[in-house]
Amino acid sequence: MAINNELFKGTLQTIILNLLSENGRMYGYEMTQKVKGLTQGELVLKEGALYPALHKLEAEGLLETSTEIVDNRIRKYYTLSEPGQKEVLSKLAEAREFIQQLQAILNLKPAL
Amino acid sequence: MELTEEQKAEIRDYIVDVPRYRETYDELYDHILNALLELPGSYHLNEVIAIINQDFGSFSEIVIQEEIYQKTLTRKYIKMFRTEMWNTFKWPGILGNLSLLALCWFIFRADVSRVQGIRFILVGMGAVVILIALWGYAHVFIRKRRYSKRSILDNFLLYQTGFGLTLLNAFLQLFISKYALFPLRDDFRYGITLLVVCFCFIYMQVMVKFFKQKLKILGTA
Repeated sequence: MAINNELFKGTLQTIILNLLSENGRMYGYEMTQKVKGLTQGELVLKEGALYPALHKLEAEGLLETSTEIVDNRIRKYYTLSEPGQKEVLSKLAEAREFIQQLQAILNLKPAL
Repeated sequence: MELTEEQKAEIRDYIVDVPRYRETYDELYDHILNALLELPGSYHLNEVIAIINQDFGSFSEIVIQEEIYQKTLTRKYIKMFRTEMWNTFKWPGILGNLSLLALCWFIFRADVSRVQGIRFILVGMGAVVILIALWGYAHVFIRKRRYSKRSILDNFLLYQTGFGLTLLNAFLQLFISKYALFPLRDDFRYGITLLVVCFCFIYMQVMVKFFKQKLKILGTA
């Protein structure tokens, strides 16, 4: 069953920050493929949402960027900045708390 | 799928007029090529159109997002620039500023005609400011020629250079020129001119430092 992307909108920044925390530096397309792989294709990060989120995090100073020439084209890599490394911890704690609350409200049981 | 150079050129031609800035263009082009390389089958431009529509919404959506990106990034640069300026008034940057002030004080106390002194300083300062402005414009021009698109940082460089020149011109028109809006006594004019010289030097020093750092990060210097 494909997951409704709307459910992930509020956690997109957390997903990005966590991906970068675990993988060091990544470029946009690589992130979409990583998420697709981790969720067995159930969650597709639409770049129309990904790039604006990346740019917002960059402007907020949570991400740093660098460019590299790969196969004769410029590739933009994102890494966590120092404030970004701190932010990822609080975002993860926030997400954990949210999932616990959701669990309490919806009383979800694992699917058989 | 593997792409030939002709096919890559076709993709570049197809998207080149959409984004205004190099940052967006590079990211869009890299994304499309990465997506195509993972697709099975043979190349057709329709695949590119499909990737753009599926992944980015549409060309107009790309333009809207780019506008937002440009604004937020420019705001960030302005904030960083202000912080750099402010840092020159903190230790150890303050040492340079104090030396400049001391130098201005000695010039102020020197036994020279105020009118002559102002003229001399304004000519010197004008030359330095124009040189720095030319440095900025040359940077933008060369990079535009090299990459065919302007970067958001270039935009900021033009803004910052223009802002500095406007500020200087306003000061001249308000206090120093023959038809100044607020004519001052020669002593005052001389003192204020020297203070503006200090500010100009700090401003230019920060500007060159800031852009050298940013260009190094962007890897496009």
